[in-house]
Amino acid sequence: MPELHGKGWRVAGYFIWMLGAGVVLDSGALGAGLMILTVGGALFGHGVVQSMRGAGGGG
Amino acid sequence: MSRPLFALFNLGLIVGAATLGMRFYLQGAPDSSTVKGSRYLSSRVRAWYFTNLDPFKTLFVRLGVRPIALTYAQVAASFAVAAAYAGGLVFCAGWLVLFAGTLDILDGKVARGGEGASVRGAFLDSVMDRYAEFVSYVGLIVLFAHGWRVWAVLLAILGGFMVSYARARAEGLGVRCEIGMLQRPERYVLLGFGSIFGSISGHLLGGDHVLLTITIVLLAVLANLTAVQRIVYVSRALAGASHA
Repeated sequence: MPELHGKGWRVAGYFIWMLGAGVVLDSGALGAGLMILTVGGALFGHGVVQSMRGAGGGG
Repeated sequence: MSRPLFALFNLGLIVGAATLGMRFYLQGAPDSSTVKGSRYLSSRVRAWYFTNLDPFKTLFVRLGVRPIALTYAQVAASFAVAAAYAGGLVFCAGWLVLFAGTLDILDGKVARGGEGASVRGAFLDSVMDRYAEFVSYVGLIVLFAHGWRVWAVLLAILGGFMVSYARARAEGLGVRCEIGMLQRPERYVLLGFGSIFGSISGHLLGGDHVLLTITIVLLAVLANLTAVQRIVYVSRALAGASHA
């Protein structure tokens, strides 16, 4: 999905991280929350790497 | 269970993202000349937010995703909002409110960027928006089922519906009516961030959804005031028309 550029992956990763954070904060499902946090963090990291390679998409 | 350190960490992430956004905003980018703003959500803030959505718009257009599919996704996201509020996942619910609002923006952008906006699509979008807004509030009714706060939620629902109905009825009578302090985007932002910061403040300071309660009361008051603003505005416009 080259259309997403670095920025799209960063935005998606940030949002998914925050969902995972919400599960950790407001429920007892620590395992599920950590799994969502990991996915979000990985997508955000992928976006950062894409941006550093020059596919940032601006902003 | 209270997790103050993790709440503080995520507050830092939110403030960090806001700071980066503000830096971008102060630099004068992006071009906001074609974006319509309001008193509380300026055209530059909206233009900045839209630039974050551009990659998704491009992707959806290339994949041939129909705008109505995004409208239905918005309704589905609102069911997720309701489930999150009902289950006490207030922080998640806040982010899902912002997500549902984002899908509401994206369907219009995809319609204009792809096959073209249609009157049918605009009608379905407006109708589904009402369902989506109501479904989101159902979760709050469940969360606050016992106590006075449920009445504040019901007043917020009434206000939101009256704001939209006043505009629809006015436009049916030929009067443009896009005024008011708390239109739909402002309601999404207020409820979304009220929930997010409400959950964080609960972990840091304790209390029974204090900030979320304040948000709901504000929504109830301001949405109904907006409806009254519109009723007065349209009433004056039609009085002038009848004397013309």
